[in-house]
Amino acid sequence: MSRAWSVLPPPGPLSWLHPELAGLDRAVRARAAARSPVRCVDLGAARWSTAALASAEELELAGGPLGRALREHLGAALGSGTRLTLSEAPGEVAGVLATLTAGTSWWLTPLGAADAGAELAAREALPLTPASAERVRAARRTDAAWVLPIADARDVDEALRALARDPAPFRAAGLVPFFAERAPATSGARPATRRASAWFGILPGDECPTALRLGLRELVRLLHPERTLAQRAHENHALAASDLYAQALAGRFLAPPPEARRARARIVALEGIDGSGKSSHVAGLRAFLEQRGVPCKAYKIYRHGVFHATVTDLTRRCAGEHELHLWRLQRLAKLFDSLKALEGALRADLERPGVLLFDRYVFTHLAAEAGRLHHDPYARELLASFPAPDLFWLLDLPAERALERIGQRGERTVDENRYMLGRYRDVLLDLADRRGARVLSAEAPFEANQAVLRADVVRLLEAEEVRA
Amino acid sequence: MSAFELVLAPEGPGGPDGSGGGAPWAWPEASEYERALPLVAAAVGAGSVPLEVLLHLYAYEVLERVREARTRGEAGPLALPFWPAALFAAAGIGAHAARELEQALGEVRVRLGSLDPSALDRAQRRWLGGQALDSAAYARALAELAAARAWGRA
Repeated sequence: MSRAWSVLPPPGPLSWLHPELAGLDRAVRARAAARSPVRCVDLGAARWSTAALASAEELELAGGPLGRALREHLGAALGSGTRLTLSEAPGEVAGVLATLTAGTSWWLTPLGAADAGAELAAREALPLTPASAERVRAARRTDAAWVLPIADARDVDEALRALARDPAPFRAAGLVPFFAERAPATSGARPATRRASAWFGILPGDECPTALRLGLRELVRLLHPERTLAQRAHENHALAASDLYAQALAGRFLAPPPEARRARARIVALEGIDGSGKSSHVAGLRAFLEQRGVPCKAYKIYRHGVFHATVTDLTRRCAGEHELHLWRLQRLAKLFDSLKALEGALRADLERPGVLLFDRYVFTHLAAEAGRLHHDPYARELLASFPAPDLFWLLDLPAERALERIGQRGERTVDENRYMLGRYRDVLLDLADRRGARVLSAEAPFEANQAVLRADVVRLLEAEEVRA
Repeated sequence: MSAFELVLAPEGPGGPDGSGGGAPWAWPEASEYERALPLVAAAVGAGSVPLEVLLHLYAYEVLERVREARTRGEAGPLALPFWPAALFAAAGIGAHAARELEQALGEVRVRLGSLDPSALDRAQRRWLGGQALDSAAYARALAELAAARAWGRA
């Protein structure tokens, strides 16, 4: 067994947004590896597995926010058999930035300057002027990046004033706006930003005034217009407490979906956006099956009452980009409420012969995750207890037509608008395609669609009889 | 809206130390929460879902139960095993929604019951589906929070 390895974490969100920093990271890592007296493992250089790291007695992780996130992940994955330490001298961009001192903000600051030539190495920073930007552009090396550190709203204002007059030279210089946390003067405690540490540099968390957040956005827009939307997405994930870096470390995006369980009852799922006619079709199918003497029940795993009123209230609190932690939480609460429904009367019915008709099934959750969050906050894992449906139909309806139908019902929900219904519809169509669902136009006559649904169910039941 | 009274009593009204002051659990007997919890706890135990998800679901549950009681016109007291913000602090989770959920609770008056680590361990098994965090760390975090907010004893 090897005694100690030095470990460099993979690039994180800041490099996802500004890929040139990943290039700098690689150069810094290569130098760190060359200097290291022990085996140096660069997790950003190749596919890696936690199991491979388990053969070391001790892992010394490069310090900084990504190192802290990696220590948390490996601590859980490796258990107590491997000692984990954080090195005091970080070997990554974060470490370089952490050395910024108060008062250097709104200066252009070189990273990797030790290898960027004698002229730049002699300087710590340049003032934020077009002439400085031109010098940075001329002096840039492939392994050097320059950041524009921002610590507070005043820094943003000054930077915006300098850039707004003529952003071209600054854009050509490839400056990267970076939110630099100032070290607390006395207590030594880290600022309570309530965002996962891996989001460092992108924004300060939700303790910052709105003006600072808007200013950081504007800086990205002026310097890297093509990254404007990506920066907004990063910001929303960070403020909603989604730790995408931890999920990447855990390999969540590479893992195959959990294998769906089978139930004794036949599972029939109707999906569709609001107004598509699901409830009417479930009622029609139920009456049809009962007439044929088939044991049948209809279920809704999206329930109402206090639960629904509470999550609706939480959702409304997020309007205007406020309290974004609740934006993710209300989705988690909805997932959990469906698990409550599963572990109620439904659990016993799943193990009885018959047909269970679902007015929405797990696919609505999946559509809501992608539709509202552009990300799945563990729906795939939490819903793994639901059996796969034997039949899955999508009643497809354009958002405009759905709104016409909904308009007659009374007050609209936050999702009942053209944009959100359109997003739900797009995701449901994609899911239907990938899961082999039958897609029916909800604008077709009710009787025509019922005939198709009934024929499908009859075929399913006849196949069951043959098997029996 | 009047202040809603909550008692933080890890073993509830039936606890051996009586620190719950007789307040009934916020949950009914054989609650849906307790039935569904093992599914989430198993996912956390398998490493497919992080602990913060489970703690967020518990925190949300507190809000839903208080709102449910409020809709019945009640003002408490109800017994809760844990206070969400102290759970996050004990678990070392800095990015969480406890503050927003507390704001959504409306005005509450909180009293502290037992902080006995073994009682907290038992409460974790029942209400968090297993030993999710260090009970002593939770007790310290709660004591700090209570001191800062001048919460009294039950």
